[in-house]
Amino acid sequence: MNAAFLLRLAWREGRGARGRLTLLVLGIAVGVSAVVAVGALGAGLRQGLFLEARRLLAADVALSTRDPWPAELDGILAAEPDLRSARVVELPTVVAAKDAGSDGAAPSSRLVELKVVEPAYPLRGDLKIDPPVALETLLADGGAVISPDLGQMLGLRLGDPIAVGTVDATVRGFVLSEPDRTNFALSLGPRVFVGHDTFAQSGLEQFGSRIESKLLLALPDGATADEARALGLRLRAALADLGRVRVNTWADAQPSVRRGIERVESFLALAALLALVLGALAAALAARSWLESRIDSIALSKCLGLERRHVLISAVGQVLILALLGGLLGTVLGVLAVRVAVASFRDLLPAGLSIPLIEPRPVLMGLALGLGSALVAALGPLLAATRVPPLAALRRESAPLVMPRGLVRGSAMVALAALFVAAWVQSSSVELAALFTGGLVLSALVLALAARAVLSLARRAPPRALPAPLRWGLASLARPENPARGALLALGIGVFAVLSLVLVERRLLNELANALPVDAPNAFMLDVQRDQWPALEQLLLGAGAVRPQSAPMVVGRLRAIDGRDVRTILAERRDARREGREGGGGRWVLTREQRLTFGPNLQADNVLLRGALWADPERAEVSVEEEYAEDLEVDLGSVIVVDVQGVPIELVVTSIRSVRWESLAINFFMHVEPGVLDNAPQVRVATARLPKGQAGAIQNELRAAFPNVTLIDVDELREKLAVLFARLASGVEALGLLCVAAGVLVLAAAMAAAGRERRREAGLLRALGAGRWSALASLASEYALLGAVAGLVGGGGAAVLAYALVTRILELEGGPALLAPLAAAGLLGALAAAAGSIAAALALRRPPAEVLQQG
Amino acid sequence: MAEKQEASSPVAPRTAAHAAHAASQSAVAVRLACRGLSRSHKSGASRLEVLSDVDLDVHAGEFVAIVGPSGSGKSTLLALLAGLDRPDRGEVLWDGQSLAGLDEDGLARWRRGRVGFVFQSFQLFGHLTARENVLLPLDIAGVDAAPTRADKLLKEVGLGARGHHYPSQLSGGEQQRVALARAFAGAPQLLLADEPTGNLDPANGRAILEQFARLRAEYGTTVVLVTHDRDVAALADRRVHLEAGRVVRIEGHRAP
Repeated sequence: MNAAFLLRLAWREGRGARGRLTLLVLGIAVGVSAVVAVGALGAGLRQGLFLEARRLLAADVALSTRDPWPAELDGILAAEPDLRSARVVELPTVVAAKDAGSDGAAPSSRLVELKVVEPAYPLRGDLKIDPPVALETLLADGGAVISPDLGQMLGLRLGDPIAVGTVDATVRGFVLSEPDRTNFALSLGPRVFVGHDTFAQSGLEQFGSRIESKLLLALPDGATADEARALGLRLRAALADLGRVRVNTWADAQPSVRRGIERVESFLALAALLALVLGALAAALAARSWLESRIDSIALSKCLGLERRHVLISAVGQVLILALLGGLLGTVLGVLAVRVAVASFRDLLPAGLSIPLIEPRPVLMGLALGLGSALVAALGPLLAATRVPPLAALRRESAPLVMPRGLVRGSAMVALAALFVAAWVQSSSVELAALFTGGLVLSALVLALAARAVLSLARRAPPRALPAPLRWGLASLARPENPARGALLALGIGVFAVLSLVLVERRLLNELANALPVDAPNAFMLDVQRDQWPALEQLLLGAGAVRPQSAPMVVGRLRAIDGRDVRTILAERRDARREGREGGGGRWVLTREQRLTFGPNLQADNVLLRGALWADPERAEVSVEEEYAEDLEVDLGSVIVVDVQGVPIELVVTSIRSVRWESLAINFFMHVEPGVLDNAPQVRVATARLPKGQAGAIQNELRAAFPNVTLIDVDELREKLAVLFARLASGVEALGLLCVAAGVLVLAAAMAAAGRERRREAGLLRALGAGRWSALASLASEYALLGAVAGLVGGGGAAVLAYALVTRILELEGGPALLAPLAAAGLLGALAAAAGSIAAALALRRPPAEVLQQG
Repeated sequence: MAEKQEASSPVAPRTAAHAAHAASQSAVAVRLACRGLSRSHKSGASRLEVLSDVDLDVHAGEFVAIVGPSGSGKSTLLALLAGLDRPDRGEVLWDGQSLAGLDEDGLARWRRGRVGFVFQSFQLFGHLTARENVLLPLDIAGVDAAPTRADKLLKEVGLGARGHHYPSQLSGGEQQRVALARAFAGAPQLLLADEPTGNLDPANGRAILEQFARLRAEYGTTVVLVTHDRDVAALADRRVHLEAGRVVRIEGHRAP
């Protein structure tokens, strides 16, 4: 008797049980399809985000620095083959018109943001230029492309000369939209594009400290999001100690986008974990149910001389065959489900996105996880199967698959360890894996305890006052060796997993919807003179603009921090960096133009973290943004001296705040209390929401009345971001739906499995004279109780886990959803009662004798 | 009648013929025996004694029937004799060797190729054809020319043409005949039967008994059979009467 013989035996076991086999294979298939679909959808979503978000960076990865590039950079880049690159230089400078404007009254020079690009720019995204000619052509031979605003302000038309540094460039075109211009609130002026040759001739390179150099990098077109991110990480690691080079990947293009993507990725990981749990649950139920149906066969085989190890080999073979069939079917189903989802959401996905028919990695992962979880989940039932006593062949009633306590505990521990490892691998986050596994363990323990409590409660003779069917239901629950406990656990775990996901999903969707408030501003106005604001505000309101807001801006330079000259601090940081020590903070933050605002109240999207606003009447106070404070290395009580037009102003830091940059509103790093800078030279920065379609007309009105004001239209950026968030949200919803569907199927399978045993009892009750409705009611009440307890405990666990995930992983605010467990209990109780009633009703159609005999 | 109902337990022989007969009996080997066999089951908080102190000798080639009312412990005794269950006290001996020293796998090995079963509920493998059912114990035991033997047995029970049918396609009587074929195919040294006609109508029951007797005669198998049916019990060489877990009477003669 060799393995081949046993496997042949195993294979033959499938014959003659086709109906049950199909159901069971389907059970495993559902779990596997969930894993595969989640993986494929997740990968597709990530890829779609990548294609979209990288346009905001004009590259896959962007390096930027305000210092000279480290010498080692060429070597580092040489190690990365197939990279396209484009050098970009950005620099605020003053440009001037050579001739007087047509009306003579236009200012002849202007502070602009100069951008020097190579022909390859932009590597991602599109530039809109008028005339629609390649930028490269327009910039050749000393050409310049400017923003239409600037053209208006300086009275420049196509062909006019424009002085950039010491060289004259020629206006060859107007830039209508730029893919990577995202930080409007920090703009200093309109845009001017020139080529590197022109820049070289301009003599502006001597202003090195104000220059930001960028190197845009792009992978070959078929690259995936993960490859781009990996490239970014490699470069970050390679450049870490070589100076202040910032490496931004596609996900970092815009703060709100970055956070949104991070959260969605965490959600994807959670969904994948959930799918894993569902898959394992389905596999456990399927394996147990299958092996239970094999009890007679196993007992008989032992009578005929098969030993336990032969039984084990055969049983393992059966489970493997089941798992393989289920896995293959599930893979096909999962891939199909994704195709359907993509087709349904076609209009919401990026145009260029196509999820390939079979993306190997998620499919293989799904298959492997499905098989693995099937085996691990089937471990308990497999070992129990080997322990079927041959005596069972002689018995006349069918025996349940007995799982001794030690076996249950042992196999549960193995299963949990495997789940933790799989969760870790799939989500690459120890914290998430630990939270999830921990939550599951806790819920399972509470479920087991609750089960024991319910069953022992039921064991006490219920008062005769209760209606008979209810009493029968409770008595049935109290039976020794009631498989109800297993059903309770399965139901509870299923509810726990699905509900956690739904709760987190709700919170995430809520966040994504509010990421860009509906009335967010779509126009920024710079350089509004102090006395212009009232009239400007009136103009805007008169034109139908919503929420025009402005804030004063005073420009200054840092002189000292905590009594130490800024130059000293700079030198220290430089030395620390050279010697590779800690303390090598940034230079730019200390040398740049500081932009301060003032006023009694903080901007709307500011949250006070530490300290108190304007608490000290004696001193001039400033409130600093938290990350900026870290860069400056200041904290509460620090004294900052700012030079405003030669006047030193001493400010003490009395509060630290966080800013929600996503809102695209005006925000400042340093906010000074009123009464300090009120008379300092200042301009105002304003935002407003211009009504759609009116923007052009309003802009013209604005320019006519206030020619020095620069108006930047952010509608396009807003639209891009809005679309991005909408796609994130729909992806999240699709995943959530998929997982819930899988969860419902698995739960139904769990209840169906338990339902089979009830048929005999229904028959028995009938035989004993119970009316059809009484028998039904008794089963329904037993089920309702089971469902309610499972819903309560599973739902409670889900509420706690969701709270932990939302606050710790997604880093959002929110309280635990306390209504959830109650709702789940009610819903599940009702569903279970319905399911049990249906199962019983089907059985009660046949005469009791038939059902009893078949048992 | 009285002559036939001689007890086989040691008793002073009444006639010389009896003495000679008794002497010849004890010369034939005892294949299966049990001593002081006791078994109880847990029932709620108390224990229920199902078998108490049963002694029995079964000689080679003998057909012993265990009879008694329901609840008398017949099936339990059969299970213990087959090594399917462990006694609380006492032991089962095969060819003088106790089965007590064998663990579950050891008992399985002991049964392999040596013990055949016929059950009340037929207990055929539903996923195997009739022929495959008969083949299975032969393959497990590694018997030579198994397919030939299987076909031969099926023909003997009159189902030679139905070998490729599944149990669901056979009637109750036909299924039990397949079971007979399966039980005898390996020429087992011991055959244990539990109410073989219990689920059959009288006509089929008689047919099965005829088959059974024929096969038994052909193979000379030692048989222990549990039944409450008098007609079935009548076929046996000896009848062991059980009541409330104890042997109350052993009657019958041993056929050579």
